[in-house]
Amino acid sequence: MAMSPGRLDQILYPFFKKDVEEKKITVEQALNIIGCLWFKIADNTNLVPASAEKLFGGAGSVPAVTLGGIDKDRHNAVNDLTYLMLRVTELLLIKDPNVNARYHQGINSEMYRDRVAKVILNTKAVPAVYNDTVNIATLENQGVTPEHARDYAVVGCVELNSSGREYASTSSILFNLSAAMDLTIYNGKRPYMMGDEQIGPKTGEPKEFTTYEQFLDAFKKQLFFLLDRAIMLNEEFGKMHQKLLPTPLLSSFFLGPLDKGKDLIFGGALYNSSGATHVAFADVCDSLNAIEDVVYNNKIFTMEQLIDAVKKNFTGYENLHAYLKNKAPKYGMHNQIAEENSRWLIHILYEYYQGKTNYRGGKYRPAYWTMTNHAGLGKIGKALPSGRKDFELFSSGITPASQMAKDLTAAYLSVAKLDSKNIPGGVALNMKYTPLTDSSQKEKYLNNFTSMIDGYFENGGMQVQYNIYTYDELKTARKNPSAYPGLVVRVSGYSAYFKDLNDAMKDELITRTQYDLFSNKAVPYPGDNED
Amino acid sequence: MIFPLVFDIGRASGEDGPGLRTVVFLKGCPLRCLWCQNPESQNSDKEMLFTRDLCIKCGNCDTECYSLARQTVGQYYPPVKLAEMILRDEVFYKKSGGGVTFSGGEPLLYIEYIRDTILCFHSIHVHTAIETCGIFDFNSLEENLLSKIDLFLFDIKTIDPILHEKWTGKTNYKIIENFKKLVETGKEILPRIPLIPGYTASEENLIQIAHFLKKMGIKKFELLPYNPSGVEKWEKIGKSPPANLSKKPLNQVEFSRWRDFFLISLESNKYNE
Repeated sequence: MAMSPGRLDQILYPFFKKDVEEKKITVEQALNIIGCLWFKIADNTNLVPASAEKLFGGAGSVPAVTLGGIDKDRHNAVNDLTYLMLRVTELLLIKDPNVNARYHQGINSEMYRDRVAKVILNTKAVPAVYNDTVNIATLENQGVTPEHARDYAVVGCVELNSSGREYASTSSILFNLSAAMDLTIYNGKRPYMMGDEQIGPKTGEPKEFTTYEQFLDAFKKQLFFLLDRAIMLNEEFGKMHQKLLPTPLLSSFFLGPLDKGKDLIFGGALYNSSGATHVAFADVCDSLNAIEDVVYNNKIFTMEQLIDAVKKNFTGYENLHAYLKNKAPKYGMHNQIAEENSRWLIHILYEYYQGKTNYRGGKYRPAYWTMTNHAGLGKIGKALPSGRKDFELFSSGITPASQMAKDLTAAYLSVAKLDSKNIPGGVALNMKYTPLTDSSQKEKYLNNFTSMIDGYFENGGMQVQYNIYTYDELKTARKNPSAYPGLVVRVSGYSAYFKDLNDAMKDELITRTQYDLFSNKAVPYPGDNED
Repeated sequence: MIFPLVFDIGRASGEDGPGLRTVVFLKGCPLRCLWCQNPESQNSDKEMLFTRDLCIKCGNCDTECYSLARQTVGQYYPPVKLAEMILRDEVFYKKSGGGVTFSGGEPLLYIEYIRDTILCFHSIHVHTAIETCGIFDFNSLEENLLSKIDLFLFDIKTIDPILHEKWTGKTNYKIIENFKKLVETGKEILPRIPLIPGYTASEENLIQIAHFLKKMGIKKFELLPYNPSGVEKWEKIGKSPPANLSKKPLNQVEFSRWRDFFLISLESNKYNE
């Protein structure tokens, strides 16, 4: 999966320029050729077993194309091909290639920014937008040279790589953070899945913890216990990969293997990281927020009550559940406790991974994108202290939990507040907006749309991607799939046809918070009654 | 100085002035408009809102209500604290050409409070707007606040004083007088005309308003489509809404029709005079 062609507007531009100058090609012909290329790229679909289809339903091979941004010398890299490729994306509206637009504030023009915004509004889903300023700094912090960092491209969903120089193996680990929360609550067990088996270390019964710090310590131990195993497993896979499947052909496309005389899989590339991504980030943050606020700060309920409520899926604890939903601090609300907990979790994960060296001699990089796994894993996960009930969907990527962040700017500022240097693997922030209905308001809508990107990026946000649909539009598409065969949605790092997604993923897209771009508040979810 | 109660702070609203704006809603209003969208804003004291649908019947009404069924509206903020909350979204004002709007209720009941709040961030330029019903002490405004405000969003409901009294509880003599005085100061004014079906949305009313604005030399204006969000709120504060108040928002087609009609009225005045 995810063999990504990289910065095609940069790679092909010299050829395009030469052919146009020599009058071998017209712009119209170039547009046609790019269209054919897009179809060719989209043509490649991997065969996957049925169980994988359940988790990754609707995904193609997710080849990522990256456009715009700056070049190695910090000059504006947006060229005529950038615009042509955006235009083709807008005209074809097919799910692949996964088109990503880099945007460097101050160097890329506002005209380019506005054009990207219009393509998003017209396609309702693509491209995703990347903040060059912080992404380049994040890669440099990983030891990538400034010239190489400026030449980054997206691999797969949202992962940042120095194009052609980095073998990043970005989805080496896909980790469900709620498992560590479960192990902490149940003292190393996960009763609803594994019965009485002691899985993790005994970190103590939480009801006996007298301070929040004790809870955090226990959580950290369980988390690192699980991560140790995930890394051990990945290292074994890597070694088997080295034995069974060296990659001479792929190695020939990268810088490094020829000089080093080493295959990619043995560390031949210039940069050799491994990516680990995380599911249920917002749900686990909100669980930490709830525990800190309810049990330790305000002492409204005891840990015993909270854990009993979670076990019973809040039956008999309606009042506690109401408090958790309405009063407890939430990631995405621009709240201090929530900000501290989210930053803490990002930080400890970063420190942990950076301390590990992989079988190719590179470092592990934490990331927060989830494809469709947050929906699939949500369907088998029991209640959490956040107030999330049994089998409800997890939040997607780095996005605040659905229906929890009521103010759009607060949501953006909360995500931007996370230290991007601690997230070298990349993030997927999923935002859903009400489409424009009154065409006389077009200018204002576009201004609000781009101002949100600019404000979020200036405060340190790494990436954002959109769905421009209402709750009802997606509900209608779920009901009559045959009437909407080509409806493209942004999942959590890639695009898919809505009809191809599994039911859990469809539900997740429908219930994602929809924001109104005039009031910039969440539109209340109207409920599930369709008839 | 009178400290007002703040009943809401809208973050990055795109609806009350240019760009993305923080809108501070202050409680207390001299008018009692029948169609009021925020009836909980009329009284300058605290108000209790009860939303029956949210009640989970836990019976713990003697403590804080967790389900949000029972909510107290209105909170005091010292100017410094309010300024801090306003500036949370500063980056979005800069990017969009927005700022802060004081709304209500009637914000100009609290001229000194607004002045003190603005003084807390006078070192950085933030665009400021006031949304007013037009009833305020002009001398106090001129003395304390006028120079610090960039834009006035000025509600014009009707020119007819008798209808004005019938619909809002007060005649509009003061409002018209203040409007004229404000025009003379040369400040930027955006008249806003609410289109309320059964009330202000009539041909005769819009012709009169168009005539008045033309006379005042005003070229920019805004028509506000009726939004029935107030209807529910009347019930939440334990009062019943006016019987003939529409429960449907003004739709796009009707709105466009009134907008075109108003534009034509403005044009035709040209030939009348």
